[in-house]
Amino acid sequence: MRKNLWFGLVLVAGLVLVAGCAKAPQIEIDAARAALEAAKTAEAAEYAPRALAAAQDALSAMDAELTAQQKKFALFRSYKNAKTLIAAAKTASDQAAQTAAAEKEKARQESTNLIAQAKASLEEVKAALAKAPRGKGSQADIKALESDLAAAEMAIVELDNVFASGKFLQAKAKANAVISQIQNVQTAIQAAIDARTKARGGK
Amino acid sequence: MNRLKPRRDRHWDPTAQLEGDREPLHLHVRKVHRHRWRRRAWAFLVPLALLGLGALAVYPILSGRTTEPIEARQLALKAVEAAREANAAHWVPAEMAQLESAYQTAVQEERGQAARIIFFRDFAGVSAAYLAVHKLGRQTTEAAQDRYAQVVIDAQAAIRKAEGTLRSANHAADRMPFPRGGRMMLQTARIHLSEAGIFLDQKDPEQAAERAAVAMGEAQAACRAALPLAARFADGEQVRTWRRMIDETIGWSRRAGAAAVIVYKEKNLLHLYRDGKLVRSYVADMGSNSIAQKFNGGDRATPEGRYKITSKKGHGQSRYYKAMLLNYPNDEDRRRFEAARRAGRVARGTGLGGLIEIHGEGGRGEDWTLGCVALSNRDIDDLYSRVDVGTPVTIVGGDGRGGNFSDLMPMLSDPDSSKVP
Repeated sequence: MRKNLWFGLVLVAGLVLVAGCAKAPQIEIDAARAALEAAKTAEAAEYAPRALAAAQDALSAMDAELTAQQKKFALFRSYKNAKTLIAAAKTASDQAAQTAAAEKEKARQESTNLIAQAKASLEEVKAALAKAPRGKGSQADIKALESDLAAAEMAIVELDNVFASGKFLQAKAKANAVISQIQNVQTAIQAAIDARTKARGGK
Repeated sequence: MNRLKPRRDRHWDPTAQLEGDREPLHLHVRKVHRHRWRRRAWAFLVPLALLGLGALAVYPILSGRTTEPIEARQLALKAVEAAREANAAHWVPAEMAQLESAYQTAVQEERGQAARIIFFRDFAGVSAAYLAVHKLGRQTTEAAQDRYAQVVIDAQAAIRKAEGTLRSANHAADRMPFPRGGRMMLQTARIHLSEAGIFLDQKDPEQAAERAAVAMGEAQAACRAALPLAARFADGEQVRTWRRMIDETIGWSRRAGAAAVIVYKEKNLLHLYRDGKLVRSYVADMGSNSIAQKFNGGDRATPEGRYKITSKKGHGQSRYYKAMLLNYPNDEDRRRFEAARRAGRVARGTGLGGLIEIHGEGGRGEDWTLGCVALSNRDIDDLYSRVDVGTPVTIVGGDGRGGNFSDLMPMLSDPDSSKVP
C-alpha cells in the first residue's frame, strides 16, 4: 500500500516537471516570425537590406537555440536563453521594418520632389518653346524640340505610373533622367532662338 | 570463541591470542599478513582510482575539446556577412543558400554541444564546421563578386552599344528631319539611356542593362521610322528620273547655247551651266524639310521639278538681299496636288503654297529656309548677273552619287554598326 503511494507521488511529480519544463514560448516565437514577415512586407529587402539580414540572423540564432533545446530530454530543457534570442529576433525584425519604412518614405519624398521638379521644368520649357520666335532658321528646330518635349511629357506620365506602383527608387532614377533631358531641350531652345536671330522673315 | 579480535582494535596483540587458541600459529600469521597486504592495497588503489577519475574528468577540458570555438565562429560569421554584403543571395542564390544552411547547421551543432555537461562536450567538429563555412563563405563572396563584375561589364557593354546606336540616330536626326513619331522615340531612347547610366552609378547593373536595351530598341525604331524618307534618295527609279532631268537640262543648255541651273538638294549645290558646260558651282541652303518632295505650302520642303525664273528682284526688292522667283507651282505640281486632293490625302485649307525663290542671306551650311534655295550674298550677286528671266531651273533630289540623305541610308538601315564618333 505504502509502496504504491510513493510510486504515484513520484509519477505525478515527474509529469509536473516534464510539463513545466518542456514548454516553448510559442507566442513570443510566433511574434518574432510575424515581425520578420512584416519587415519583408515593408520591402526591407529593397530599402533596408542590411537591417533585414541582421533580423534574419537573429531569427536563425533563435531557431538554432530552439532546436538545440528540443533535442534535449524534456526534463533538461531550458528556454531562458531562447527567450533572450526570441526577444532579440523580434527587436531586429521590428528595427528592419522601421528602417525600411523610413527609407521608403525618404525615397518617396525624394521622388515626389523630383517629379514635381520635372513637371515644373517641363512647363517652364514648354512656355519658353511657345514664346520662341518661329520662322526661317528656327521652325524645323522648334518642331523637333516640340517632339522632344512631347516625349518628355510621355516619360513623366510613365514616371507617375512608376511612382504610383510604389517603386520609388526607380521613380527617382527616371525623374533624374527626365529632368536631364528637359534641361537639354531648354539648352536647344536657346540655340534655336540664337539661330533664328541670324535669319529673318519667312515664307 | 577462538575468534580474532576486530581489526579496528589498534592495541591488539596477535601473540596474546595464542593462549587457549586452537588455530595453528602459522595459519594465524598468514591471516595477519593477508590483512596487512589488503590494507596496503586499498591505500594504494583508492588514490590511484581517484587520480584516474580526476584525469579522465580534466582531460576533455585540458584537451580543448570543451572550449567554445569562438574564433572559428567569428571567422564563419564574418565570411557569411561578407557574402551578404556582396549580395550573394541575389547574384549566386544557390551558393548563398548552401552557405546559410552550412552556417545554421554549425550554429545548431554548437548549441547542441553547449547544452551537454562539460565533460561530454566536444567542439572539435563544430570548429571544423565553422572553418568549412569560412572557406565556403569566401568562395561564395568571390563568386558573387565575379558575377556582379560580369553583370557590370555586360551592362557597360549594353550601354556602350546603345550609345553607339543612339549616336547614329542623333547624327541622322541632325542631318535630316525625323518624322514626329521617330523624333519622340529618339528622345525616349535618350531618357532611357540616361536612366541606364543612373542605375549603373547606383550599382544596379541589371536595371542599367535593361534600360540600355530599351534605349537601343527605341533608337533603332526611330531610325526605322526615318528610313523611308531617306530611302527615296537611293531608289533606283527615282535616281534615274532625276538623272534624266539633269541630262535633259544640260542638253537643252548645249542646244540653246544658253544658261541653265540645276539644284541638287541632297548635295546643297547649285550648278550653273552655259552651252552645256558647268560654269560655276554654288553652295546652297534648302528648305528645312528638304528631304521631302514639296507637296503643299508650309511643308518646309524645296520642290523638285523643272521650273523657270519668272522675275528677278534686285537689292532692296527682296527680304533676302536679292532673289529670283521661280514658277512654282508648275503644271506638274498642280496635277499632283489635285490628284492627291481628289484621293482625300490633302487636309482642308491646305494649298500648294508659292513664292519659291533663289535668294540671298544663305550659305549658312544648314537647311533653314521654308522651301527656297538660299545662296550667300556674294554668290547671289554672281548668279544674278549670269541668269535672266526664263532661265530654266531644274531641282532634283540628287544624282545617285552620294549626298546628305543617301549617305544616311546605311546608318538608318543598321544604326548599331555605324561608326559615328
